[in-house]
Amino acid sequence: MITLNNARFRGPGRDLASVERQLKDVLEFAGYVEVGYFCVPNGFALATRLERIKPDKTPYKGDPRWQPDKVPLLDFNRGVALGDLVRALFRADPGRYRMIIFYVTDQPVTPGETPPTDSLRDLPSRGGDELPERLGDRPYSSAYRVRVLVYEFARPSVSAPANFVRNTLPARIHLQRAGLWQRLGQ
Amino acid sequence: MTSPLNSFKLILTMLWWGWGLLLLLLLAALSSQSAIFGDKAADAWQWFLPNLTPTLLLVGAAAYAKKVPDQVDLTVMKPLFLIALVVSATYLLLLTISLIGVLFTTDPLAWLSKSNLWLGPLQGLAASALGVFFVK
Repeated sequence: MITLNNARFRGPGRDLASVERQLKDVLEFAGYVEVGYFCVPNGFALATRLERIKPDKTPYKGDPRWQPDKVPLLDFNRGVALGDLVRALFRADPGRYRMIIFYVTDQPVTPGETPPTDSLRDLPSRGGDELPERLGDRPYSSAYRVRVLVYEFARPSVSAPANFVRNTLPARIHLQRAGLWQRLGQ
Repeated sequence: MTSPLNSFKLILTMLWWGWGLLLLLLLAALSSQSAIFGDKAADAWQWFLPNLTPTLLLVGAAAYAKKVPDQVDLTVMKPLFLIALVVSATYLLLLTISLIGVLFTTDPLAWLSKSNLWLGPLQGLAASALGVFFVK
């Protein structure tokens, strides 16, 4: 978990809706066009859709980025180059996925000790598609923070379900590789 | 001077042992990482070995043990050799495709199991063709 520099989100007359717009603009610019909103105590959470990432934590390009299902290592429809074949033989990546959740609240946020359940992966599609108005009007006081939790899942093999990765890289590195860190003004 | 029959035997032996070795290396690479077979790499070897070793050993043993007669009828042996060669190459090619095919599926072991449908009959055919060639 990482807490974003609050000064970026602070300002006279700011409310939660303006923070939400700021976050959403940054996310959309980085390709996160589908997010889900959730109410949390005194604020809201914004979850990005599960995206497929490479071992270096940068997102896949194009449609494969948003395909959380099992996919073969090689696919004739996407074209198969000799390099792909060698990579599949020696450094295969059966599937690695990431979900980023932004918490905007004045309450402390503590990541749970237990691994998240499978239902977490469907979180964005189960959430609202916009911030409820009653929450948006709430002033963004100095007690508020924007915290980011990154969840990573990985398949041990192409036929296995994706499991939660407990020891993933720090959230800051994920945000950098996702192309969000600089745009968040950090 | 090497007799034509010796050349035929050498070609068949080299084909099976050379290609077989490459397939062994291929499966070693595939099963060395958990990404493909997970913790079931042993199942992949259990599928692979019966598909290769019986014919491989048959060819090796026959080439080693069979004494070449002084007089051979090439008009009989050449067609037998060509049949054995074509069937062997076809079988080894299908075995290679079956093995490479695991990279194109999300259930590699099911794919290997399914490939027995075409490998089984063809392996019998290859063993028969080789048997006839070496016995003759």
